[in-house]
Amino acid sequence: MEEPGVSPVVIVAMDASTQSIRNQMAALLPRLRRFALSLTANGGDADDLVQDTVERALRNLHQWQQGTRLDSWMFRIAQNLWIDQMRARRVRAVAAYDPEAAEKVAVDGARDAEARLTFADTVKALQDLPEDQRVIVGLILVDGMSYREAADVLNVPMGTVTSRLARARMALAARVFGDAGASR
Amino acid sequence: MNLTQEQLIAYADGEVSGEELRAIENQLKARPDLRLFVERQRALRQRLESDFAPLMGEAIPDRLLKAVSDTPVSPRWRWRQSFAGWKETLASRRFLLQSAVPAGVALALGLVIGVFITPQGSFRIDQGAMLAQGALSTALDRQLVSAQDSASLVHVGISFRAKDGRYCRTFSEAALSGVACRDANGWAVAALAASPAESGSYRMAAAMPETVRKTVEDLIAGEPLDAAAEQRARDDGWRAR
Repeated sequence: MEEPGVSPVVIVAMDASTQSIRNQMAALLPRLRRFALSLTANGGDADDLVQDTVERALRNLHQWQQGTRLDSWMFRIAQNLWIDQMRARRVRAVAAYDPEAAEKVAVDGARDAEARLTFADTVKALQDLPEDQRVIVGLILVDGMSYREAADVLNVPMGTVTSRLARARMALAARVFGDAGASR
Repeated sequence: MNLTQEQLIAYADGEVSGEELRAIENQLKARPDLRLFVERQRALRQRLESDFAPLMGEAIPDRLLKAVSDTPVSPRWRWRQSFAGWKETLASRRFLLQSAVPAGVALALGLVIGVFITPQGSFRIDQGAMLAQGALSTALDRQLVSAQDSASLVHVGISFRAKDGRYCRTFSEAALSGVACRDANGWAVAALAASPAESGSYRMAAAMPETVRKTVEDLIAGEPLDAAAEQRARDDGWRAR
């Protein structure tokens, strides 16, 4: 032993990894809220979804593979939770469909009237997309992920991402630019 | 080559490269209709981006911040984190060179620690951090290096300022030596190890276990506090600067 008074038995070398994960999650909140709003079309529902996502993630943190991207994992949880909710809601909706509630779109009050109309239109157009396409649009067009990143979040092949996105965009372009915009 | 909508959209998104990119660009030259298609797909993307952009600047609701800070992490994650620390230690060459003390001692110390991490012990785990509590916490709060309380089971070695502004102190209690830094939650233990058994004089800073000494070296900004500075820091509640 070259150094006197050295103990070989190290009991605890604490690190701050859990705190660092929490900090990373806090930094992800704006992106998660934006993604959630593109799915739910309603601010309150979006924040509910983000809250569920955060709680689910922390309570199941051991399922996150260290060394992989935390954001991809959180987005995956968010979209899984939302798809599950939508399925459950569809079952209930058969019993009680409220067309007025379906029309309601909560938009943040800070935006001016004109922008509000535009935003509401966008949200309405998104709401008419099938769920799997809405998720793709949320990941790529709203969050700005690459096709590869979106494929990693959803654990699907690139080809699936490309084709779902194309279908969603043809439908959106038709809404925004009229039918002519979608043709080629 | 006949371009598909998917190809054109991928092109509009900048997701095409190499041979395919050149082929698409060649075809677009002769096809104003396809160029319009691409342009509109880009406009659509921009519109969605800008429609949702204001959310990035909005204040985050408190309940979400609270969910991030207060939701307990899974026990299996915490367990794995502490295990990872162990594995690193076991894997280190230094450990192998120096493990003259057999595993039995490690086991015994594991038991000691197990006893210490109880509601009545000197440590508790709070959200993945190990905090001093009880007599140890009290000693770290009050006891001065220059005026050790001989009745106290805790001996405080040195006090110093860490690079991040926190005050940290080394301590020995029974068979354990460590270093803890004061933050908002209490004295967070940064390193903890068995006191060097052979020295018999755990009261000497020089006899700090290697891990603790290393941690102190990593943490410390400048020199340890002198008696006057230490007393000022204590009277100020060890508040980080």
